[in-house]
Amino acid sequence: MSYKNNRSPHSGIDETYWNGLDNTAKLFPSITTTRSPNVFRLCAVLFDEVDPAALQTALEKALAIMPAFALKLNRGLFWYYFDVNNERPIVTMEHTYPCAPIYRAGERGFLFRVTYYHKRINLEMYHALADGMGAVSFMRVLVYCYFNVISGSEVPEEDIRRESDEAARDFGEDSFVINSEECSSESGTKAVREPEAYRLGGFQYDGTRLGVTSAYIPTSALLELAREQGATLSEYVTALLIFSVFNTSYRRSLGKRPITISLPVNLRGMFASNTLRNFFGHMNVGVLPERGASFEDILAAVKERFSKCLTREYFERQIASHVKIERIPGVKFVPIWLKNLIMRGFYKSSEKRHTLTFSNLGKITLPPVIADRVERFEAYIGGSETHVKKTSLCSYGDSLTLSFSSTVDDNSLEQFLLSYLSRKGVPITVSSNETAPPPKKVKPKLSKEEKLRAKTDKKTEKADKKATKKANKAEKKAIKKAKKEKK
Amino acid sequence: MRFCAHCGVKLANDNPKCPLCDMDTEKIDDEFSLDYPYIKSRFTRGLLIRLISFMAVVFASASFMIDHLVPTGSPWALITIAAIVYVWISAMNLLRHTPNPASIALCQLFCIGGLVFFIDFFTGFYRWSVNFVIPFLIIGAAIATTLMIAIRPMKYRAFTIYQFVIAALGVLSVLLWVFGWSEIEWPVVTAAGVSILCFLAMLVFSYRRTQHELKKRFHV
Ligand SMILES: [Zn+2]
Repeated sequence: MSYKNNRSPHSGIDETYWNGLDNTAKLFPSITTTRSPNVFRLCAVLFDEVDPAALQTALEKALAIMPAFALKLNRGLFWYYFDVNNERPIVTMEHTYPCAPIYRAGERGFLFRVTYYHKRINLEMYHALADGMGAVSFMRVLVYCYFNVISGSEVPEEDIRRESDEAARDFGEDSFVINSEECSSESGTKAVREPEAYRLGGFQYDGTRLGVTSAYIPTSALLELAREQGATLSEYVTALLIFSVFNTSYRRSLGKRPITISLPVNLRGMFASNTLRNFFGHMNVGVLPERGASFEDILAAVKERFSKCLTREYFERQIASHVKIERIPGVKFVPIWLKNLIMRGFYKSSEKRHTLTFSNLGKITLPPVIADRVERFEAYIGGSETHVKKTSLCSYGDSLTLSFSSTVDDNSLEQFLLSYLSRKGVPITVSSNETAPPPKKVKPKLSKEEKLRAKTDKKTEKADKKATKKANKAEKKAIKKAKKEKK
Repeated sequence: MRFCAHCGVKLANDNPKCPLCDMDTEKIDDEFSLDYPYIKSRFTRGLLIRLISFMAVVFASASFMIDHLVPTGSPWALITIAAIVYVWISAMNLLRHTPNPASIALCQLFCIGGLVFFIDFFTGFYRWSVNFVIPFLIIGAAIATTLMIAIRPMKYRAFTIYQFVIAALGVLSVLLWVFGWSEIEWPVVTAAGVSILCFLAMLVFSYRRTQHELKKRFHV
């Protein structure tokens, strides 16, 4: 059979393609529940209203260009695996809370979702399929295709095809396993077991409800603040988060546990990988603040921890230890349900070691042809049962978005952080999904008399209808009779 | 846009309250953006599952109590409870999955098989369930799954695994006769034969696809 015949009509992917999950992705299906859906959202805000039909066509085009995303997740006896999904992806208007579950046991749909709402294009991604960087690559193609559909040859399709063909050469590779060859796990010191971190509490929302708050900040203003303190943007925001936790709910706790921010780190640059799947490591930045610690104290501690962790050796050790588990002889043949159980246990214990997740997606760029058609990008991390708040940051040109997603109705952390920045002279605009219900159609209140009148009116109407029906029938009968008599 | 004097931030949405501090805000201009839809709390699937489960418990305990208070000597309460369990499992299966005909067929095969065996067992055990119903259920499921794969291979080729399971069940059903549970040989032998033939047909007519499908499922 030729390769061409194996291509399915919508996805453009080789129909016989299938692949195992990458090293990190293997974890996600086992820890996914309705309340921890492991979904994140990327959002492109345009200057005009989104055209749904154009977006639908654009999505189909984008999938044809990047077939690495036209997949579903199936469960085998020993491992999960990605299988080709040759159905048609459907774009819908946003009608759920952000980051609603995508993968549920027994459901075999796409592992991403594209929705729109007024000027926004939302791309929601199940984390097993790709990490933030993979999603950004797909989002770029999607937005490009959207403008290609809207304005035709002004935005030529060939350009993005060429670019993404280059990018997607090793789209399905497991960069963890490939790079683990050069990683030695015994690089001197043994990894120190990190202490249990302080955790934010609160009574969580029901179901899949997620509150998101995003702050739009000029990139230059925040960068300048960070530079004044001799810090990078990541360091500055991490310190700011710790400082905010310290000054809000932490005060009410006994204050014996460190405030630890977990930062996913993109490893593509460090290890020269180009994968569209997951390839990130984790870095835990913990500070045990003393009473009355100032922001500067915390920032200094954060900077020290960053310089210790952001090294190739640190992540080499991490990759090696991840891959080592997979390589234990015999582990392959453990049935998947038992693997899930074990992984869930490991994950639960590792989860206790951070307070918040802060994911910095960094600078997002677009091809120059369409660069001035997008106002900004936003990123949100979905909720989790054990951690009530997550933070993420991304910037596009001079518009930086710092967003918080929360499964509790307590915004004191966000309030402290943003008003602190605003007091430093940073102009901030806040948007949130706390939307007021649309005005109800109020039924005019009727007095008793009016109600009675309405009732009798209805009754007489019904009686009238019956009478006319009867009359009609009688008429028909009469006509029939007349016809018969004629015969 | 609005402005919250307490937090010192501008607000993009047209909410009278500040999303950060919940205080009143002042309007500074008429521009505002619609960023998120209003989500009505709806009748969710989770609630439906809980409702069905609770109703099942209510009916089961009601029949148990009635049987206890008005003893008749007949096992009607047990059979009612078995039926309730059957309905509950089928409902959960239908609610949890997006329509996947093969998994529904397999679930029904197990549940109906169990239910008829239970009824038979408590009404004198005339062995009609093991003699006829269970073998014919296997035959039905095997043929149905094969037809699905044959008619729409693109959509249903992943069902090969279910067919494999049904063939295994067909072979196992011969044990019913071997251990003397069923008294008539031909239905179990037919069930084993038909289910194996269905699986063989898949192997013969699309060997590579079936092999590919099984390779995926059992990869290490
Ligand atoms: Zn406020």
